[in-house]
Amino acid sequence: MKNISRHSQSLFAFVLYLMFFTMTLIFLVSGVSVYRNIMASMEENYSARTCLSYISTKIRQCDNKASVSIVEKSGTNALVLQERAGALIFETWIYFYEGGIFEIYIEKDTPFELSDGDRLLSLKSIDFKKSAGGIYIKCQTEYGISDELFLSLNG
Amino acid sequence: MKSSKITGLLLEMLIWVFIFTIAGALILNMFLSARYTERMARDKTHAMYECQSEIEKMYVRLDRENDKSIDISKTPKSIYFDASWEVCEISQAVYAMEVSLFKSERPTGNMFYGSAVLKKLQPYPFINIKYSNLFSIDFKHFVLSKEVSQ
Repeated sequence: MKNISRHSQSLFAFVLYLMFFTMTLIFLVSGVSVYRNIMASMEENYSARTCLSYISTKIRQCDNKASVSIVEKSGTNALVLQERAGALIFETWIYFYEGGIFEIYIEKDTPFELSDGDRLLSLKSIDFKKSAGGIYIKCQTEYGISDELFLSLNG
Repeated sequence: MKSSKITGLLLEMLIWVFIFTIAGALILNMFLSARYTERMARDKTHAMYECQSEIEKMYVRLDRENDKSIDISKTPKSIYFDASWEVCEISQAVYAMEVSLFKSERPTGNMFYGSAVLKKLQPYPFINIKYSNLFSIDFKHFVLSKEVSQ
């Protein structure tokens, strides 16, 4: 009788240890998962915000219908912002290339390759679409979430 | 004597498991609140873009209809979004944006002003925040009258 009682007590202790171990494991795994999700979301937020804020600031700097255009180059839509410096016209090209957003600043009609630009940020895709009175910018982060912004153009 | 020792040990273990369960429940609550806080941060960013886009579209419309016939009586205008931020009917809405527009007539044109407020219709679970406003912005836009601009 005493033996049975001792056995059941040992079993109970073992079950308790097992419970403790399982719960610790569950909390640890869920903690890691939550932390990973938060970091991914922060990264995603950062990419989308930085990209759209940067482009909208650039557009606002030359806020004029005539100086903002969308040009297709090597199968990708590029945003072209023109500015005049004396007799010369300079262009800022912003476009998507090899998993990132690129920018190049050149004199008008200077030939260039998409790979010549500077990489600004990693993204899954970015697209520009001009509509009456404004421009749509749609970007998709590496995690697949997309954000869209419409900017009106003056002039 | 031995039996009471074992019972005491088991009792101690039970107390530890109980304490651990309470601590675990608290931690789980914190995890969930962190998850929803992060979700709220993401929604706030998206809400900002939706509000900005709507105001910019309104600027285009106001500039195009450059006269005194712009009907502001149709505001406040409400736009509803579902969980994936697609425009939807009120029955499926998770978020709602309200855009109000007012007009003040000036000698040389019209000053339009108003606000855009984006709200989440249901509060986030596990977050102790009373308000549901995700983003709000006031705007002012002056439209020169046709006579003056010509």
